[in-house]
Amino acid sequence: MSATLAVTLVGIVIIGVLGFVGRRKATGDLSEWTVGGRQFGAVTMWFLQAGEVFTTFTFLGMAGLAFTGGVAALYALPYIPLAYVGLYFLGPIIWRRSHDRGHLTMADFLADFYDSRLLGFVAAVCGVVFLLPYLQLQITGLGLAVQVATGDQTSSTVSIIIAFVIVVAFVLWSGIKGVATTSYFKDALMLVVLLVLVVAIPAHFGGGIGPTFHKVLAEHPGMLTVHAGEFDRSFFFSSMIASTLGVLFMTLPHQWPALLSAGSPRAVRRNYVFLPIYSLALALPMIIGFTALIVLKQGSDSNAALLTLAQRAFPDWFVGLVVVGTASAAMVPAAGLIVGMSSLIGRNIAGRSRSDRHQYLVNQGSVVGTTGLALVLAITRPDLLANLLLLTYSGLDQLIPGIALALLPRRVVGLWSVLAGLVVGEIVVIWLTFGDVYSGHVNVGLIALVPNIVVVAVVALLVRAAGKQPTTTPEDKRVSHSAPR
Amino acid sequence: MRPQYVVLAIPVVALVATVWLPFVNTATLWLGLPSVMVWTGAWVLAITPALCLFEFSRGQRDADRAEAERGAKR
Repeated sequence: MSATLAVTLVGIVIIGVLGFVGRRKATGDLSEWTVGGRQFGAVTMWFLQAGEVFTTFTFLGMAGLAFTGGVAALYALPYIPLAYVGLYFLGPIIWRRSHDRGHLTMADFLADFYDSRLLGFVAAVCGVVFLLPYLQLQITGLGLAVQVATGDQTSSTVSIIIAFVIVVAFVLWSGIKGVATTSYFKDALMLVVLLVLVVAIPAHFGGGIGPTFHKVLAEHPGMLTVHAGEFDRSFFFSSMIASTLGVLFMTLPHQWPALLSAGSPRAVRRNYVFLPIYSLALALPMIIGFTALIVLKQGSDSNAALLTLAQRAFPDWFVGLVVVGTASAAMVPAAGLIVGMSSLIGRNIAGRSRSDRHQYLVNQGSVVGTTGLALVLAITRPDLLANLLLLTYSGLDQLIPGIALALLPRRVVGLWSVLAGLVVGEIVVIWLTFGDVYSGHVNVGLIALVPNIVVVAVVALLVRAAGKQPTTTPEDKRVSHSAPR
Repeated sequence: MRPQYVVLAIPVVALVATVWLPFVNTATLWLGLPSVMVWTGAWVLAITPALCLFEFSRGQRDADRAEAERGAKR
């Protein structure tokens, strides 16, 4: 066994142990498992949500996108901080209502506001279906890291199986608390590894960060501008806006347990004040991607750019640490994704009309089921990282009108408007993505939002013309701590 | 409009406009880094102090409100 693989496996086991430490006593309560008793402070929240920002996509995919698209990759730097600006105001509103009414998931929130289990079911199905590629992305990223570092496909497959069996085990035991404890380790390790890489790799290959960019300016000036081509202004602007809106309106199901686990609105607000600083870390792998421009041949595997340079510049044991950093960037966000997806299945899909105990058991079963499915897909259908993420965002972006309107104090459109818009939006996303009918660079999620919103408005007008008005608002209902029935 | 909103709008507008600003979206280096990277990085950093303005003024407002409530009870 190589030093790289040995360090990697030890790191994976340490992450698992930290995940188990997150909970002292077993729980059979889905609320405690999903949102940790709603008592996390600002610091824990910060690590929990920062952990979601930095995934294998940002670690490997951002370096790869900088290698292929140059500064166009920087669309990923502002979108999360821009969303945090809005969430500073919207986050406490969501937290208060969910706290008062016992919501655990995005689908709970929608089902309660629109008084419809059907909408909750549809939103939950969308959440699980579109988040599954994101979970697969984490597994694929870890496998890629081990394969590049060891040069061995078998080691890669064995590593991702071991890593994700461990993830399933600690998620089953600890839930959101396990995600929180592993986030501390992950964020610290990621920052240290990235800072070493971003200083050493440009120094090794280009004489430092400044000289490296001067070489890029001389040899590939086009990479320093957002220019015509696949990664043009339309790609940059629309990807940034679509991703910002998706995060701002909490369309990613795994955002909800992290937000709802906060102990107070103050913890929510403070978290969004200081998270943008951490987002700057996204620029670090991009610098390594630019360094790859002057080292690797055009057409090299872009997603392997960071690890290929690390392998050429560092001894095996440090490459092992880099892979552990990648593993943590895969395992910890994956754990958060699994909590988000399984709670949707347990609460809003399979266990929606059953007892709390039954919901908990369905939830635990779906932890194993969803991860197993993603693992099989990752081993049999590993795809390009960045495209998968954009597909995830495009599909989930179609939930924006429903969630945005549910943030209002009164219901201004009814169930059928939101449901019709959502269905039309999803059809357009799938058609544009798989129908081979669109070759432009504007984000398809943003395009599909237009017919989605138009349908919401038209159906709302038709409903009003028929003399039916949405009447019930959340404030009219008494506080309930069970799922919407 | 409260001044805090104006201050917060500045980094938001600057970031959204990044790709449309010819002096930013150009093949040049600022401080040895691509201009687009420096521009986006700087404005992302500016978001935290801009949100701090809201958070600190909220703290003062909340304290004033609590003080007023205590005074009313006396």
